[in-house]
Formats: sequence, C-alpha cells, structure tokens
Amino acid sequence: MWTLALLGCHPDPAGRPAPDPSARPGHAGARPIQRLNRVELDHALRELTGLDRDFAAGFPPDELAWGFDNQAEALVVTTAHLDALERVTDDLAAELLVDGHESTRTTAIQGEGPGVSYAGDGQEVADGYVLVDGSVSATVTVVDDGAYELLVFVAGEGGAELELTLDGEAVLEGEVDSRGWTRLSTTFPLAIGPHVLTARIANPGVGRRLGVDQFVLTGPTDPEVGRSALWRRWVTCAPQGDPDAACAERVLRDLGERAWRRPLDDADLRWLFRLEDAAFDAGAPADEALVTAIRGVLLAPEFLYRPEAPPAADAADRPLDGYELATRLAAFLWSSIPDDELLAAARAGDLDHPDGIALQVRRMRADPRAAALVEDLGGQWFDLRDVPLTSPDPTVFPAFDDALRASMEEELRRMSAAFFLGDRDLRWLVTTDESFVDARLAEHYRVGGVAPADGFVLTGTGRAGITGTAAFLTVHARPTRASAVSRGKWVLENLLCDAPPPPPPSVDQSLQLDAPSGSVREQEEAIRSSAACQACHASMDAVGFSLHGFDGTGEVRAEDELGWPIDDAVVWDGRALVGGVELAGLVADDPRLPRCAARQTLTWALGRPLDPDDDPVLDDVTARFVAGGSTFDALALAVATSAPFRRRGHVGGAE
Amino acid sequence: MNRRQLLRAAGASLCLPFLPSAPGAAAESLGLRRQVWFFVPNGFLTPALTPTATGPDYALPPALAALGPLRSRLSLWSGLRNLADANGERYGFSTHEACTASLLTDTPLAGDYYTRGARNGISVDQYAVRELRPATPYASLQLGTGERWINGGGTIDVLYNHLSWANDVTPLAPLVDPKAVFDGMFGGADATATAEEQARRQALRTSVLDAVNDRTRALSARLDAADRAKLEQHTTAVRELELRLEGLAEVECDPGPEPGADLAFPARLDAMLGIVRVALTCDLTRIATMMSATTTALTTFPWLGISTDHHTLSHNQAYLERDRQDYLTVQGWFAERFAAFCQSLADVPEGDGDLLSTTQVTMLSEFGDGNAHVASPMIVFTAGGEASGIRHGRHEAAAGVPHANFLRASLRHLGADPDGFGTTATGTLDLT
Repeated sequence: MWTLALLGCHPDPAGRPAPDPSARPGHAGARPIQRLNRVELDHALRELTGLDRDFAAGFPPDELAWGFDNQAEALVVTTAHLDALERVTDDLAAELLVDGHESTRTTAIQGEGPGVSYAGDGQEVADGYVLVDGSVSATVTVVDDGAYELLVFVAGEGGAELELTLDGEAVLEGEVDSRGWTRLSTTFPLAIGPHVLTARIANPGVGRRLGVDQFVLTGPTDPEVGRSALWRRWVTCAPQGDPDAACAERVLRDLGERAWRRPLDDADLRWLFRLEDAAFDAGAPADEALVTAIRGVLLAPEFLYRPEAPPAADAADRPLDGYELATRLAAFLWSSIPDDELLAAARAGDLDHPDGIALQVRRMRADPRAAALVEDLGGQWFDLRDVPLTSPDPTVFPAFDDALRASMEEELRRMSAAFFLGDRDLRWLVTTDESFVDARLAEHYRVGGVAPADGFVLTGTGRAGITGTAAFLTVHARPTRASAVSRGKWVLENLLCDAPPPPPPSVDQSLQLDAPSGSVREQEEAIRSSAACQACHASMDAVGFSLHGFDGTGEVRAEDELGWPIDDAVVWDGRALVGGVELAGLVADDPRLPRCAARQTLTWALGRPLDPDDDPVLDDVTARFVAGGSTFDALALAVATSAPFRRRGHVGGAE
Repeated sequence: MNRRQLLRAAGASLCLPFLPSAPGAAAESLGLRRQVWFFVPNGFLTPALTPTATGPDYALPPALAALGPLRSRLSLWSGLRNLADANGERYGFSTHEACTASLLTDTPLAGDYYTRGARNGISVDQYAVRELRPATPYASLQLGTGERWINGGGTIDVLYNHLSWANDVTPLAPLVDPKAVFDGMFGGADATATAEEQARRQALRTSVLDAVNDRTRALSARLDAADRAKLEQHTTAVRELELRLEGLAEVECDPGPEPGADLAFPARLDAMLGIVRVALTCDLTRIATMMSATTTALTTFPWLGISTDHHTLSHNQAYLERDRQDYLTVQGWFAERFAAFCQSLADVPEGDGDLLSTTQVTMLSEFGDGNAHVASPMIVFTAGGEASGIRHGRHEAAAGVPHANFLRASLRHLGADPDGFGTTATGTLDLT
C-alpha cells in the first residue's frame, strides 16, 4: 500500500571497496551496544524538538566507569530508564496533539483554582472577588506563541483604580466606576510558557472597593497558529481523514532519519505505519494515529541505542558506514546526535575518507554544540563538573562563598575551552601563566583592584595551568584542608595516566594531625614513611606537596593548617623542584602527558576502556597528536580517523 | 492539569490505603507486607549508640532521643557483623564502597574491581522482588538525594552510589529528583480528555511498547551475543514498564501536593520520604530503598549549627570531642528523620492497624565506626512490620551474628523464602 524509495542502510554504490590506503594501525576492538547517556538523550531531544527543556530530569544518573559517564559496559538499562523515556515521549505526544485554538482558551480566575493566589485584604463573593487592598493573581500557561485576547470583568466604587499587570508589566489601568460587572478587554502577544496576571487596587483607601471576576485568555488569535510549535516542526503536511500515506511517510522519514541517525528502509516504515494503522483502527483521529507512529520513532531501540552490526563471523572487523561514523562523531564532539549536514556528509560518502572526516571534525569543533567537549569530556577529565559540588568548611574558609565558587568554575571552563575549542596546545593548558579572573577571583588571587567584573585574562599570578587554578585546588582538597594526596594522585592519574594502585586493604587511611609534633607535611610523611607506603606515595606526595603553597580553596598561603611554614620543595622521581610552576614545567615535558591525553580522549570517543591490545592505536594517535602541535584539533583528528573509531570488531574480542 | 487534579475534581479526595479491588492476585502473595531500607552514610558510632542494657528496659543513648516516641514499635539489634566486608573481617579496616555495596547484597567484592569494573550480587530488596513478583506498578523503588563526595570513585563509583542491585552487574540507580518521581507516578493524565480518549491513549502507549519489544528482539537477532544480553535487559524493562503503566492507570489515590523543583538537602530527603509514604499508601510499591545520601557524602548541616562535612566528622570524631558530638548529633538527626517517617506511616490507618504495622522499616549504615572504617560491629534499627509477627520494644545484643541473618529475617517477614539469599548467612534471625 505504500510507495517506498528503496534505500539501503549501508549505501555502497561502488561495490566492495578496495583496501583503504588511509587505514591507521591497530585493532578495531568493540564494545557492547551503547545506550545514549543522560546528556546525550537530553541533547538529542533538544535537537529533535527544538525545545529548550530539561528532558533528562527524570532519568537515573549514569554510572561512571573509567572516568566517564559514557562507557558502554556501564550504561545499564532498567525500568526507570524506559519509564523516563516513555514519559518524555508521552509529554511530547500530548504537546503534538494540542489544538491551540481550544486549549489556550483559559478561564483563569473563578474562586479557588489552580494557580490563583490572593494577597492583602479582600473577600471572595459569589461571582467574583472584592479587593479592599492588595491583589489577586493567576498563573496561566500558554502552549503557543501568538497574540492573545484577555477579557476581564470588573466592578468598582469610591474611585477605585484598577491596575492589571501581565508578568509585572501594566496592560490595563484606570478608574472603575461601575456597580455592575463591566467587561474590559485588551490584546497582547504571549510566548509559550507560564504567565502571571495580577489585578490590584492601585489606590486603596476608605470606601474604595474593586471587584474582579474572571480572567478569560483566548488565543492565539492568529488563525495560522492552531498547533503547537512542535507539531509545526515535525508535521510538515496535514494528515487527512484517512491515514495519509504521503504525508505520514514524509513526516516519519524526516524525523526518523534524524532520530535514528540513518535513512529509514522499507521495513522501518512498515513498522511505523503499522503503529499508525493500529491507532487509526482503534478509533484515533488521523493526527493521533500519526503521533502514535512518532511515539514509535522515539521509543524504538534505534533511538536509545547506537546499534552497529557485527562483522561477518569470519572477519576480524568491518568498517563502519558513514551513518554509524556520523553517530560516533556527534557523540564524541557534541554529546548529541548528528545534524543535517553531518547526515548529508554520511549520505554523500564523505565520511568514508579521512579528509571528509577531518572536514566534519573541524566544522563540528567550531559549532556551538562543541561546548559539550568542555562540559562533558573536560567536565569529567578536568573535574569541571565537580566544582559546583565543592563545599569548603566555612569555619575554616570564611571567605569562601557561592560567588567565589562560580568564579573558580568559570576560570576552569575558560581555560579548558581554550584547549578543547581554541588553538591552545596541551603544554599551554598545563603551564600557562594566564589566569581567567573576574573581580572576585582576582581578590582571591590577591591581585584585587585590577580586574573588571566581567572577567579577563591576567598574567603573573604565580599559578601555572590547570593545576594552578583555584577550581582544581579546591576540588582536590578536603573541606577543611588541602590534600597533597588527592592533588598528587589526580596529576598522576589524569595527566600522566600513571595512577598508583589503591592502598592495600590492610592500610588505615585515616589521618590524625596533631599540632605540636610538626608541620602537616612532616606528619603526613611520617605516617607514610614505610617502604611499603613509599612505593606509591613517594611520587604522589612529591607532586602533591609541590602544590602545598595553596590552601583548601586554592589561596596562596605561607603557613599550613597547623601554623607551620610551607615547604613546597620536593624531589619527584629524582628531580628536585619547588612549587606549582616548576611542577607544571616538568609535567609538560613528560612524555606520558600527550599519551595520557590521547588515552583519555580515545576512552571518551570509543565509549570503552583501552586495553594492551590498543597500544599500537595509542602510539599512533599520540604521535599524530604531538606532530600536529599537541592541539585538540590534532588530537580530535587523530582519534576520529583512528582504526578503532572507524571500524568495529566482535564484542568479546573474537578475532 | 494532571491526574492528581483530575481526581480531586472528581471528588476522590479521600486518601484510601487500598481500593477494595486494588491488590491483584499476585500482590496477595505478599500479603499486606512491605519493607523499606533507610541508609545513613558515613557510619554510625556504634559504641555510643548501643544501649548497655538488653531486653525491654534498655535506656536510649542521648543521641537517639528522637527515637523515644517510636520505642514500642522499634527494635535495636547490636553486635551484628557484615561478614561480606571481607577486608574488614581480615584486617580490621575496610572501605566505604566495600561496606556500602555489600550492605544489602551480602556479597564480598570480587576480583579486580578497581580496574575492570565492579561486580556485586543481588540485593535483599531485589531478591524479594524476584521471589515475590509483586504486582504493584513499581516492583520496587530506589530513591536517594544525590548528596555525595565531590570526586567520583572512577570505575568503582558505582559501589558508593547504590544499595539495590538487580544482579551482579546491574545496579539500580536511586532517582534523585523528587518532582520527576512524583510526576511519573501521578502526572500525565489530561483532564480535558474524555474517558474514552484517555483509555485510548493508555492503550496506544502500551501497544507502542509491545511493538518496541518485537522490534528490539528483531534487532537483537542481528547483533553479537553481548549486545543481545544488553537488549534482553531492555525488553525486560519494557515489559515491566507496560505493567507499571497499566497499574498506574488503575490507581485512584490522593498523593497530596507535588514536591517543588530543585529542592536542596534536607528538603529533598523529606520530599523523597514523602514519596515513599505515598507510594506505600497508594500501593504503588511495597519495597523501597532510600539512600539518604551516598557514602562519603560531604553534607554539611547548617540547620544543626554544624559546618564541618559529614565525612570529615566521621574521621575527626575519633580525636576531637567537638566533632564527636557533632557526628553523634548528625546521627541523631538522621534517626529523627527515620522516626518521623515511621510516624507518618503510623498515621495512615489500615484495617485494624496502620501502615507501619505492615511495613518493616530498617535504618542502617555501612560502618560501625566512621574512623575505625570497618563495617562491624553493626547496629540496625528496625521498626514496624508487627502484622508479620515482628516483636518490638527491645534491644537485642546479637554479638557475632551475621548481618546476613538479619537480612534473611526481613525476607521471611516479607513472605519470601530467605534460604537462597546471601553468601555469609548462617541462619535466619528470629525477630518474633
């Protein structure tokens, strides 16, 4: 019954391709089928609907694994996940079926009702409300943009003056001199969302009374606006009395291709049409039947997961097709789904070649959606997401407050963005003497009085790179004190990917500091002086104590928590250094640094941890990253064109 | 407009624990039995919370004064040992994650969980779900507040954040947004729609889910075995969701006001406890776990005049008297929330008794001393559930008895055969 274009899933116009001369070394590897995580679902639904809404609020938090919340193995699916997705779908379905003309006709006030509140002095009467003083307010929610007409019935005596406001702006005012109800009306534009209408008596006084009956809001008055914005976005034709094959096909093809990140084939459309037909047979009107198929688009596994067919049983791996690669690119760089241009590149076969991939990577990194690199990759690699959760003890750090926390977060965000989105290289990120301060952070850095409130770049604050930011130093502290172990461990684990193993289970990790016996550092070092502890702590503590000149909120200090002078001279793996700036220099020169950046970015982009079999890939990506100037541009290109990013093997490593 | 308003408009404002027809046949196998687990992070200071006397005439320690009004409906079990805390038992020192993860699973952490991902076992609440298959819309509820330590534990983060595990690799994440949970239970109906339209919408929702499962199975057949295992989880979840939606459509019960958006701790905890009460009252679920905060949470308690965070207190209490007092004050505050929750159940009449008499509510923590950093000896506080034969008004010293024996007892009182649960149990504790 349907005329369908014959579109395959894996267009391969030239037949089986010749061996790819651009193939990079290393094995493909594989991961279990990957569910979109909360952030990706939220971004995907925003992309699809064009609505600025917190779609993920009802989703359970995602599990962290290998440092990130997008690791396929840890992304479980439970009833709670499906419940949240179905709920979002049901809300969208309801929104699609809203008929603007009827449902926005709202009678807002009539006695007690939802969203109605009274303030001040007055009394409710049988058919309205009488104000002697104060106001009556009602909240109304409109579901479409457009012009609305407001009717209000008022009465007044004693020279009472009405002031009627909409979201605080006056829309009607003047004296009401009428013993009976008088009908007033006015028209104004309204945007989607809740609005507050308030009627007040502007001049309360003896003998003055103002009566208010109903607010009746009708609209949108524009006859073109009958449907929700979402309907107009998705349903680009009018389904007729019977299921309209051509219209439905167009709607489902367009939405389906965006949501499933590939063209729909005949079987896909038949499945969706069956949903529509069944709804129609169950008595649903044409629009609701179409919306039932749209529910199917959003609830199908092709939306929630990124299915990638396995290679043939006798093949070690297979190249991903353009659509699969586009989906990976969008997750890697945007924490989202492909846009139309990326899908077009897939359709055109541009993503079958490294040059085409590079073109898209560069375009995507310049797109505002790439902020996800800062918030999600950087958010977890550099702990940007943890900054809002810090809570230094106010009795120890009375100067710390929400404003300072926000300023710290913004500095780390700007510094990370200069790397992920700008052209600053990794060395810069680790060693830069630029601080991104506003007035509050400048004060914290003791360069107060020079910074304007809107923030700018300052040099010479004596801090170096990421590990010099107050954000890093505060996140890696205990609420009451600085923590050399936490700071040292983070540098080794996240910048050098050389984390020490966790302490053996027999070790008491509690730390009791006792003032008279010596400085914090001396006491900590004494506790961990045994050879067994030093095996790991020597390196960790050296790094951590080089940052000892910063307190638990990242402020420069001369004395430790117990009043002893700071000693930030250390010997790290045989190299003597003093303070955070010298530490940063050594980290920047460490060959483990670029390799670690490559490992972190690959783990993020692949959605799986690297194992020893991935070493050739890691070597290759690291070499290309360094050869490209250690910029994120070079790193993203190397990752996006690496063997495991472009190919997939069998899950479980059957190769 | 949501279902709540609709029901009010229809005059269904009376709060009934059950409609006469509410419990389905499968629900009857549970009887009127329910359980709630209330987790307190960062340890109890067991030596200070354990009464010296046993039996009915014990004196409540000052820190637990808030439990006074609950006394006749409460038992204290001290001296229990979490034997699944293998490191604690062997070295006398353990970790938050090992003790939290095993608290309801009785499963020692296995293998190289620091680097290759965590494995645990099925938790007591999910064991009950598996055995009893409750026909309530929510087979069980996992709720929390999201209060936590700032740095995730990386790969082992999952061991800090979950009490409930469906199996060794499937932790059930606590939902932390009270408004979203509430809206999921009570929102959704369109009051302007006719009954026919509502019924059709409901039917279409479940028919789409049916079709989704057919499709998922077809997709699964084209994928690897590991993918098929994941999608098997998916189809199970979809089936459960269908039952949930059908169940929720039958519910007629006044849930009270919707929680506000963006509530902070402790308002968020109270909102979540309110949701548990409503869910039990309306028979949306009979089994719930409440993670009042994740372990090592850095919660501060300004309303108690305590600005040092909870985790720091749990260590400093060992050598700073002020912090010891504050640590106990915090535990007393959690006990107060626990008691208030129990009282809120006692305020709901049911049959000849009240909701608390059919609900066993147990408060417990991962450590027996926050600085000693070890699970045992534990103290657990268990209230309610008298309708299933639990006897209260006493402190019992159960020195050396496996905590798993207590977990098994909770299963027995829920109506489940406890014998297959856990790895260290030596029997089933007698709570009668």
